[in-house]
Amino acid sequence: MEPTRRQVVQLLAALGLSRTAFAQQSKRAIGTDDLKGALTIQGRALPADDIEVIRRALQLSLDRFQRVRDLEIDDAVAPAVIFLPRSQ
Amino acid sequence: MADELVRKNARELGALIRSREVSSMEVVEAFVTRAGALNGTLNAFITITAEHARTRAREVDAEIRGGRYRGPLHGIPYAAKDVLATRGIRTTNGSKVTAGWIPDHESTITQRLNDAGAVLIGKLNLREFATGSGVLSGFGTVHNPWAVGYSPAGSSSGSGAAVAARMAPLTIGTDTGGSIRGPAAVCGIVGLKPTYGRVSLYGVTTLSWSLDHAGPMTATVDDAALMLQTISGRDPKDPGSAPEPVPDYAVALGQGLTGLRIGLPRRHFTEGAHPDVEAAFQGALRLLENLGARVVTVDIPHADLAPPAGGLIAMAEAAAFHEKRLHDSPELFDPLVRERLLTARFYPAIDYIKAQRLRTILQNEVTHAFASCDAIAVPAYPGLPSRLEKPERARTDVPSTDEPAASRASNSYIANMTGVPALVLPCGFSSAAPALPIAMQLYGRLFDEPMLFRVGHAYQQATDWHKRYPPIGEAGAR
Repeated sequence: MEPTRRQVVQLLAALGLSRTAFAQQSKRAIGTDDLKGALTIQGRALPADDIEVIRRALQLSLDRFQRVRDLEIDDAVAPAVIFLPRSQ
Repeated sequence: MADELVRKNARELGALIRSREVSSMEVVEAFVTRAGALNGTLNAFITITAEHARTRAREVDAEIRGGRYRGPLHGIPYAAKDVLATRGIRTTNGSKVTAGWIPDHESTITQRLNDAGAVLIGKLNLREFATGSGVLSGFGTVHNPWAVGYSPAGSSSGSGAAVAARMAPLTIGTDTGGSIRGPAAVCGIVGLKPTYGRVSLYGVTTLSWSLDHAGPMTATVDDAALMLQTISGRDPKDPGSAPEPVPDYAVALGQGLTGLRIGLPRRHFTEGAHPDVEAAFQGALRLLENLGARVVTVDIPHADLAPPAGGLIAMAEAAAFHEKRLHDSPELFDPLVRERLLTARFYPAIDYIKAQRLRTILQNEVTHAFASCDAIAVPAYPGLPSRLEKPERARTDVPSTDEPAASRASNSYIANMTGVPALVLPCGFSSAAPALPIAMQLYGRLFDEPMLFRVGHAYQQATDWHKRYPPIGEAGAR
């Protein structure tokens, strides 16, 4: 059975390697076509050179966020956003 | 005389004005003159409202002569980050997009300061729309008064630089991921991010509804308490403002530290700190112990996830807030700010929700940490102020590269994510030239700003870091 990501991270941590270092090795490549598809869904368009710059920026942002994605959160944990209906 | 006045803090100036040893006009004139003289070098102000200030100073002086004294801020000059709406006074948000906006309403913060008799002397430069810790503004780059050519950090760049250079005794900043505390740290002043909801955000241009805060930036902890006293409290115009009563913050000053427990996180916050920062921070902890506090170890296990999660939340909300402006006039945004906002359009909704769920976890962890301590101390920022990047890099680089010290937010976002108050105050200087400020940061329990003032004031009573002036301008020459 292949090790889970969590097990790999624990192993790397035990070897003294940080989660950041590991995340940098596990980038999932985002392509310009991915962005073009998303823009279609959004009903927007951007110049081609913008798309390439944003692709690189998005790749960096989501790589940084990967550690949050990897976090396993208990079902009981709700987002810290509260809707407070008020009578006017 | 003017040089002596600009070196005084607000509490001292207030006493002089109350006793009529000096007039508000004299104090206002001293600061307006200095702001005008230094602004060509530092670019801290976008607008200096000199005539408005003189008119207002005449009014408040007349009130004192007539026996009406409004309180300790009566006649004291202040300046506001240019995201605070000021009725009839241009409010640019540091952006060409809103360069000509003249609001028809007043932010609650400036209204409360005005009602207390304080005198607005200008609007302060910032990272465009407060969109991060860099310094890109539609109105030019702000410089650090301690070393021109070095970053004052952002986004409240002008607010930090103005207090450090004694161009204003009091300023207001805003803080979504450290934008009060970063500039306060690298400019060598005091910055307070209050508890979420403690200070009304009515009339403050939004960056992120769930992470935005506004608060004082001052020369001393005492002045920060004085300013918070005036601007805090429930505001019906801001549904996010909290109903908790506002205590008398002055009571906390001078209570001493005997028996207090200072929490020191056992991981994350000091990792990778510059040796000078580490030394200054350890020195500050030793002093707090000598003053009677006890340092205890605490743990916030997922604190390292606060910056990436907070950054995603902030920019996703900012992209939503600026959607129409970005669509209608993209060419007016700084290219890098525009790219950051456009990038956030592609963040998956499920990531945003996960980041918000992480906030719940962080809140629980911070609450647990405060079960064993009264305040938590960390370095304000693990690095030293960096040299300013050339603006032309913006278009050719990906977002966040204008923040050479990307870790600036690493010790700050946790307070925005959990809503707890955080106070930054100077605790040393770097060893190599140019000597640049180093600061520590104190976190408190929700609405326990008094504890932060108590610890911070005791520390400043025993040190003189806050009494040093940058070597700029005639009053600051050393």
